[in-house]
Amino acid sequence: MGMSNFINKLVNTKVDRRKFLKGSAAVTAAVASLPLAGYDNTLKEASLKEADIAHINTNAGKWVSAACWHNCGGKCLVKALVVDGVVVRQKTDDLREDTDDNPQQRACLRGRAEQFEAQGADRLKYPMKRKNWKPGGGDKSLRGKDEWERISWNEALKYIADEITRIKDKYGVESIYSTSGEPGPLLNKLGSYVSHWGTSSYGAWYAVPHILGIGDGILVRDAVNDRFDLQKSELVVGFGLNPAWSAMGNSTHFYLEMKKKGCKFVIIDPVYTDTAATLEAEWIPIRPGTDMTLQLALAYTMLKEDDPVTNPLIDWDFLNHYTYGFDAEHMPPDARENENFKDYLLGKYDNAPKTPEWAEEISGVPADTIRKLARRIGKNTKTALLTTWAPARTHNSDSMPQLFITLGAMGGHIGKSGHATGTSCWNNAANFGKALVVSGSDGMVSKAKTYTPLYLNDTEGWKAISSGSYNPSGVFPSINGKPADWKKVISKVDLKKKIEKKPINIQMIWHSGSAILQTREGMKEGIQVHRKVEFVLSQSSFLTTNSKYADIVLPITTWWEREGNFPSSGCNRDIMLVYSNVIKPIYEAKDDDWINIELGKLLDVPEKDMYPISQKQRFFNKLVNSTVINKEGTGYEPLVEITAKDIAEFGCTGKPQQGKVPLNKFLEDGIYQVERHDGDNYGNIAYEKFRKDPVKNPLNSATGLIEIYSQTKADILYSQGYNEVSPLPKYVPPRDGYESTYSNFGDKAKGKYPYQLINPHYIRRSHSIYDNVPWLREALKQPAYISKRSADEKGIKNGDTVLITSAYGKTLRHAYVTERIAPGVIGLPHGAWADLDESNGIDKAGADNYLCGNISTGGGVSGWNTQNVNLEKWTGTPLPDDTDVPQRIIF
Amino acid sequence: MSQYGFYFDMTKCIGCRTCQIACKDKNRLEVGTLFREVKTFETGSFPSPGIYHLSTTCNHCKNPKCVEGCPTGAMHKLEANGIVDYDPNICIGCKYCIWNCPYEVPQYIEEKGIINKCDACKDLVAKGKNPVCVDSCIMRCIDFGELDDLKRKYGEDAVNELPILPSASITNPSVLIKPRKNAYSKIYVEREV
Repeated sequence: MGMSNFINKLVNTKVDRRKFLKGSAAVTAAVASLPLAGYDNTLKEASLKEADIAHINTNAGKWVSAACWHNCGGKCLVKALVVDGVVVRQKTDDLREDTDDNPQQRACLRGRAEQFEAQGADRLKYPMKRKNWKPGGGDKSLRGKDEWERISWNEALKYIADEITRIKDKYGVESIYSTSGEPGPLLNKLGSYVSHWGTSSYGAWYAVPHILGIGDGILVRDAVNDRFDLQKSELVVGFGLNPAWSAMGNSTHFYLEMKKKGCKFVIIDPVYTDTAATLEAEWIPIRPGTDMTLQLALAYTMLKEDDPVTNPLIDWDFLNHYTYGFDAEHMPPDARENENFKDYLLGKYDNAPKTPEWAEEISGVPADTIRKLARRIGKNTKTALLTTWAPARTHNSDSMPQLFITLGAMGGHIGKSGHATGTSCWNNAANFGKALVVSGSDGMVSKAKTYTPLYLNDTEGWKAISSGSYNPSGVFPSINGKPADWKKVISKVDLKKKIEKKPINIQMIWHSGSAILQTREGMKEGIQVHRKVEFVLSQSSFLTTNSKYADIVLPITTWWEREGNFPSSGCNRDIMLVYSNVIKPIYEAKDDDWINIELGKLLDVPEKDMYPISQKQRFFNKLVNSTVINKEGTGYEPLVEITAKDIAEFGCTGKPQQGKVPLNKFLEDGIYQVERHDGDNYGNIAYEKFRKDPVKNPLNSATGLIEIYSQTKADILYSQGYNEVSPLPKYVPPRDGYESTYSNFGDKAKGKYPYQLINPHYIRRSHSIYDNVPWLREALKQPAYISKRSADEKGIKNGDTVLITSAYGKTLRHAYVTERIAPGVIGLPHGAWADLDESNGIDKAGADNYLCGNISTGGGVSGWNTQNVNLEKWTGTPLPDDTDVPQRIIF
Repeated sequence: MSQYGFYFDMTKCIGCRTCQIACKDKNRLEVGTLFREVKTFETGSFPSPGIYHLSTTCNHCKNPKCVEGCPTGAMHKLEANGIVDYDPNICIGCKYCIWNCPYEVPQYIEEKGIINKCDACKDLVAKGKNPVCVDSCIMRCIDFGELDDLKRKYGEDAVNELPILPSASITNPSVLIKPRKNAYSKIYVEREV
C-alpha cells in the first residue's frame, strides 16, 4: 500500500481503526491509535512516500521546535518533522554532545506523543452545542448525557454573548465563574467576575513558606543548592522524592550523579518508587499524611541524644543565632503565646512527648528506624533534607514547611556547601538557584479600566457554589502572586478577625485552560453544580471532563497551531526553551484570544483594551527582552541578537540588538542552554548569604530569622477563618488521615473507610493532559496499586477489577497487587479522565477527584495524599483495558 | 561477519517507556504493535521489595530461529551488521517466525496480513546514527553498536541471560544487559504499571 493510500485511509477511517489484543481474538474498537496525518479542510493531505515516512532521517520536510507546554515537572526539547503542513514524526534534543555535566534536554514519553495533542483523531473540530440546550439552560440535567450538534462560529458567539448579557443583567458579573485565566482580558472589563485559587500541587508549600521567608522551590528558587554543590552531600533524606514519576527531565540523572560521588539516599514514601530503586535508596515506608510525626520524632531523638562534646547532633550555634522559638530563651519579640518548640517536643503542652514510639504508632515507621536515622542527620554529616510538595498535600499540613526547616536548622543543614533543607521537585528538582536564562516580558500594558476578580478557594469550590456562600479571602493568592511583598498584602488585612463568609450566586461557568472539574476535589458535587447553573461554556481541544458537562463547546488550537512562544512556567535553571508555530489550526479551531476579541465585538469591549499589541509582537517582545546570565554570574545580558533584517522578516517593530545567540538560531534550536561545570560562576548554596550574616541578609520573615515559632503564620491562618493553627509546627492529624481510618483510634476499631488513598503524579499524563493518547494508554494502565497484604485480606488478585469507595464517590480500576506499597495504602494515579456510568454513579476511569470531597482547613490546602476509602473486589462486569475504551470523537 | 547489538543498563532504567513511544513514532505503529517494549517485574516482599524493568526488542540473534523458520526468506540477516531484517514484499504472513522466536519479537500486522519487527533503525545505522530508542532514553540506558565493542565498553557485568529470559543457547542473542541484583531472583511477578 502506497503512503498516499495509507494517509487516505487514515483520513477516511478516522474512527474505525482496528486493534488487536495479544493472545486474544481481534477486537474492533473505536480507536484511532495513530495521530491523523491529514485533514479534510485546512490542512493538505501529506504526500510522503512510504520509504520517507518510515525513515526519521528523511530529507523531506522540516524539523520545527515544537511546544511541549504542559505542567508536568519537566520542560524538555521537542521537535516535530513537518511535511506538507503535517507532522509525521518527532524527535528530541540532538543539538549537543550529551554529557553528564551538560546533558541534552530529552523529552519523555509524553513529549514524544505530543503529536496526538495537535493531530489526535479526537480533536474537537467545530463549535458545538448540546441538542437540548436553550438560552437559560433548557433541561440542565441532560448536561453530560445530551447529544452534540455542530454549530457555526457566528451562532456560537451570538449564543454566548447573549447568555453573558442576560446573566450579567440579571445576576451581575459576579455570577460568572471563570475557571481559568484565558477569558480574563474580556471579563475584567465587564466587572468583578469570580476566579479561583488553590494550593494544587504545592500543598502547604503554597503562600506559607513566603511568610516564613523560606523557598517554596518554584516562585522562590533559593530553596536547595545547585546540582554541582549537591554532589558534595553525603546523605539525602528524601520525603516523597520521586522525580522518576513526577519530574522526568534530567532530575533523576542529577541524583544519580550525586550517588556516583558517594552520596547515600534514604527515601521516605508510602511507595517503594522507581526513584528509590534506581538510587538504591534505603526505603522507609510511611503511612500517608504522617510525615510530620516522623519529623518530630527525629527532632526529639536529636534533642535527647545530642551532647555537644561526645555526640554532637544539633548545631546549637545555628539555632541560637538564626532561629526564633526553639526554646524559652529564644522566643521572637512578637510572640503572644508562651510556647516553644523544645517543650512541645518534650510533651509539656499535650502530655505527648514526640518519642519515636509515639511516631511509630501513627506513621508505622519502627521507633528503632527513626532513632537510627536521627543519629545520621546530625550537624557533622553533609546532609540534604529534601522533600517534594507531595507529603504536604494533605489537610491540616499547614505547618509542615515550618517543621521541615526546623529540622534542618537543628542539624545546621542550611546555607553550607553539601548541606541543604527544602523542597526539591518539579522542573527545578535537584538543581536549584536563580534561573540562568530568563524569558522576557511581552510588553503589554492595557490602559483600560479593569476589575479585580473575586477568589474562590478550590477546597470549597463546588460546595460553595452549591450552598451559595464562600470564603472571600484573597490573602493567600495575593501572597503567592508576589511573594516578596507579602507584608504589604497583610498590612491591608485585619488579622485579628476571622474572615466572614459571603453570599455567592454562580449562574455561568466558563471553562478554558484549566481542567478544574477534573483536577480539583469534589468532582461529584461539581457535576451536580454543572447541572444546576444556567449556562456552562467550555473551550478545549478535546471533549475533556470540563467540556463534557458544558452547553456550548468551542474548539481551541494547541500551541502547535499558534504563534511561537516561551513556556508559560519556567524551565530548569540551565535552559530556556522557545517554541515556533508548527502547523496551521486544524478544522475550525481558534485560540482563546480570538474568542475574546470576537465576543468583545458583541459585548462592546474593544480589542485594543484587551490586546493593545498583537500576539506576534508580544512574542517578539519576549524574545527582545529575554536575558541570560553574564560570564561572571553577577548579572544578566540580552539573550537574543536581533538584526534589522530579522525585525523586517518578523513583521514587528523593534530595534536591532546584540545578544548571545542570533534570533534564527535560537528559534531553530528551540533552546538556549548555559554550559555548566563544577566550580563555575553559576553555583548556588541556598541561604548562603543569610548564613554569612543574618543581620545584613535577613530572611523575608516577620523577624528576619527562621521562625520555629511564627506568630504571623498563626495570625494569617486564623484570619482565613477555617481553623486555628499553632504558631509552632505542631502535628495535627489530617482530615481523612491514618487516625481517621479507625472509628476509634484508641480502641483500634477500623471504620467504614479503613484504607488510605494517595494520588501520585503519573507518567501516562501531565495532570489530566494526555490521558486520551492511545500510545500512552497502551504503555501505562492506570491501575490501583494495592498492597499484597490488603489484597489477600480482600481476596483480590492482580488484574481483578476493584471498587474503591469514599464518602464522596466510587470508582473502578484494575488491581496492581504489589509488595511495593505500605499495607493499608492504595495508590490511584492522579488525573484520569472521569467516565461515569450514569446508571449507578460509578466512575470507570479511576478519576481521583471523584473520590475527594470539599474539605477546607487551615490555609485552604487541597488534600489529595490521604483519602479514606474502602476497597472491594468488583463482582460486576470486569473493566476493559483503557485502550479499548472508545475515543471521544464527536464529528 | 560483523554483529551489532543492543546494550541495556537496567540499573538506571526508571521504566518510563520513552523508548517504547519513540519506537512507535519512528515506525508509525498502531496500538497493539510494539517493536520495543518495556516490561516491569517485581521481586521480594514488603518492606524489602524490588522492582526492575526490561526494555527489550529484537535481539538480532547470531542464530535467529525466526530466519531459520521463514519459508520465503523474508526474514533474513544483513551481512553488513548482523541486523535481523525482514522484507515485507515477500512475507506471506505465515507466522512461523512468531512461533519460532523464543523472545516473542515478530509482530503480526492484521491490517496488512504480514509480519513486522525492529530493524534496529537500519536506515539510521547506515548513516552512522543510533536507533531512535538509544537517543530517546532520558536515563541513557540504551546503547547500540558492534557487540564486541559493547562488551569492551561495558565490561563483564553485562549478561544475555536472566531468569525472565529464555536460555541464550537457543539463538545466541546479540544483547547485553547490565542487570539489577534482584533481576537474578528466580521468584518474580510481571506487572503492568
